[in-house]
Amino acid sequence: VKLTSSEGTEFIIDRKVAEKSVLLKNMLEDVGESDMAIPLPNVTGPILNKVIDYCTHHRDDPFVSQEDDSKKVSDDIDDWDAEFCKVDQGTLFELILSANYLDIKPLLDLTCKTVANMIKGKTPDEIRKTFNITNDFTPEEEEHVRKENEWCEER
Amino acid sequence: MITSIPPEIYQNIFKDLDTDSLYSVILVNRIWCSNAISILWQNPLELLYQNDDSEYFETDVKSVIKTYISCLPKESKLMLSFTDLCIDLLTSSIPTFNYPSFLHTLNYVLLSDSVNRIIKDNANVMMVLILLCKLFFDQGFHIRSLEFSTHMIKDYMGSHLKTIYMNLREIPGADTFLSRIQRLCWRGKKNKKKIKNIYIYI
Repeated sequence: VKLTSSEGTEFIIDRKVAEKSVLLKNMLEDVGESDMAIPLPNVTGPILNKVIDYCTHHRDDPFVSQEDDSKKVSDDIDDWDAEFCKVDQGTLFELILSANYLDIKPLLDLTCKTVANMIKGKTPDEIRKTFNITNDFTPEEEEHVRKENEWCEER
Repeated sequence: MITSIPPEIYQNIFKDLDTDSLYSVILVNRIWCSNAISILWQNPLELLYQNDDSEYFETDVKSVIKTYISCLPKESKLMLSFTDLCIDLLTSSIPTFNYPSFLHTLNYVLLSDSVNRIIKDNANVMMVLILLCKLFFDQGFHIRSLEFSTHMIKDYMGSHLKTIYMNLREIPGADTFLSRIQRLCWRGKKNKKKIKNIYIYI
């Protein structure tokens, strides 16, 4: 299967690897075998490279359907996956967006879990610093939200 | 970068966070708040009852009920203002969110036990319960499960706190609400005769 990234770089991968992506799987089923490259205008070359790495490593994993995802997403991320997610934040969020676009649920869950772990146990201010976010609450709004949710306050 | 991600991805990131982390998340900024708040309020009372030996348990239960009371429609608030309900339960402020709309499971026993803990007078308990049930019937669009479970209340059997069972069907809006319910749950210790009674209550 041939894929083209947003800047026009061509990638050739196994059909089995491509089928990790529900989007590509459906496309391939609709179009059948073809020499035409599938354009992926939303994914850059370096990111596509990472995604292909992931799909190649996990090519033999059983397919998990949307429904039974309830509790299986546990805290443990295996070593390969953890190493895979050791990237800068920009790359991590591009991976999330690509996993979402290409519909690769295990990759989406893994990357989201990684971000969740970056949030865990932090104060609002530490979270803002970590992700470079500005607080756009007015002091009154913030006070209201705090009051209404007083029951989760840590003491 | 994180600012460009769509809501469903925020939800995916936040869905497994613990309560403390979620509380931090809702104070980060508006977007984070609006994407995490619904997760926090899926079943707040159950979260609190899981940790009912905390010294802040009653304060926290009161805080949840107070927030729900602030979501009551004007007429209901007016009715409550004529009672001798303690002033600090009634606030004039308009809530930031429609909190009842986030609830997934309505556990009537926990609701009733909570209201009993913070309001002393029986007539007032009854009135607040009816108004809150009506609120959940009207605004609890995501409630799919109705529970009458007593197993989470530790001192349930020997306690002076008695669940007030009322006929939920007599509350306006009950039929529409009950038609959305997909799961009915009862869990408790002994006391089998209550099972039969649930049939009558709904």
